[in-house]
Amino acid sequence: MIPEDPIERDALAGEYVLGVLDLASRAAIAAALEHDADLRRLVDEWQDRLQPLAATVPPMPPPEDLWPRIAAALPRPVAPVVPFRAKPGLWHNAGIWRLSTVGMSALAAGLAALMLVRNPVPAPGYIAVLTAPQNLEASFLVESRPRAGLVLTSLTHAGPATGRAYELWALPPGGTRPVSLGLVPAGGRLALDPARIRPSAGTALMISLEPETGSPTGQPTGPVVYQGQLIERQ
Amino acid sequence: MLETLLGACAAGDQRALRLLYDRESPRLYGLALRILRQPSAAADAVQDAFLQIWQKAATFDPARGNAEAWLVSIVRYRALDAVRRRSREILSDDPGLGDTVEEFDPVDALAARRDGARLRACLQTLEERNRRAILLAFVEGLSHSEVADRIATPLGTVKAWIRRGMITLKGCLES
Repeated sequence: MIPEDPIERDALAGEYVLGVLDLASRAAIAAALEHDADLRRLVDEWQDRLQPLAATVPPMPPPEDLWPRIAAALPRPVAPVVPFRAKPGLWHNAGIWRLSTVGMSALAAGLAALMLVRNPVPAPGYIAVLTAPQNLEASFLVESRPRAGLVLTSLTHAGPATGRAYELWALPPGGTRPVSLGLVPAGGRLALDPARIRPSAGTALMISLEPETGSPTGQPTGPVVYQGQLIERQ
Repeated sequence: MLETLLGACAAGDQRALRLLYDRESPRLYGLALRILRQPSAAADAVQDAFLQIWQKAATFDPARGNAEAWLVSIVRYRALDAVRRRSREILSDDPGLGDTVEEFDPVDALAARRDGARLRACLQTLEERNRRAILLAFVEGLSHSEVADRIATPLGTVKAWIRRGMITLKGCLES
């Protein structure tokens, strides 16, 4: 059914993406795509070629009940993250830091996306939403500003207990030790010197609970209370 | 951004699917409706598509193509399968079909899109009849034989026009 001649194969892939084939041919190609990587590549290429055309079709509001129907048909949600629990002695282990942020990154990306959908910002840059591991509440927003550095803003105005301080840390992808970006002032807003951190996608950001004057060791000494990951915004 | 949301879906975060839905569903529903011409059938196709997006998010590979094309394809294939199944059951000249969507010129509409200029220029290099047949197929979801009926041209001729047009289009896009 699926031809071997490369020209014929490419033409068939194009016609599949175009949509002109009858039901039986569509089914045959869909079945072949499961195991035929070359055909898959040809189809992918045609999808990319023709995709701008799909974007020209006028959007239409879907029926109100469509999302509830989809949500009801989804498998029951699985907790997306395992609550992070700090253990003394593990703080200097970068692997632990990375692991603890992997689950969060997806969520933070989702939350960041939510904010972008609501407030489209044209400038390219980076964004992260820091959430509390226990309840996933979005608590701090980190955004890059053109010609400035990263700016941390509190979303909840919650602060540390008296005599303690929040300290912000960054761990770039592949980094082994978190770097302190400074203490978070009482107002919850911290503008970071661009010389201090160059933002990159995948950099983990964490806020730990420290003594009032900051970590005495240059590494986090208290629990991570908020964490997230920088993603590139488009 | 779409890539990020798909990554979050793959990680099991259903909120990411909701964000994806909020962002993409009007466009995807518009595509499905264009092909199916029936709100309930279009809604079914989009529902199936989102369940498939959820299940297959982990298989999306940005190296193989862009996320938008991936989403669009899932919805289009669902809609195309449904419309082909339906066309065996009801007459294709059902007067109830075809009156619910506005007319537009896809080639003109490409001009408004940043990523559309090249495809537009290449479509314009095609012979008029080849371009028309290709656009009817892609945008309206017509099969070879439906295109032939619509433009009152023999099936074999229409197949040849489409194939020739696609070869020219690919050559132009890759030049």
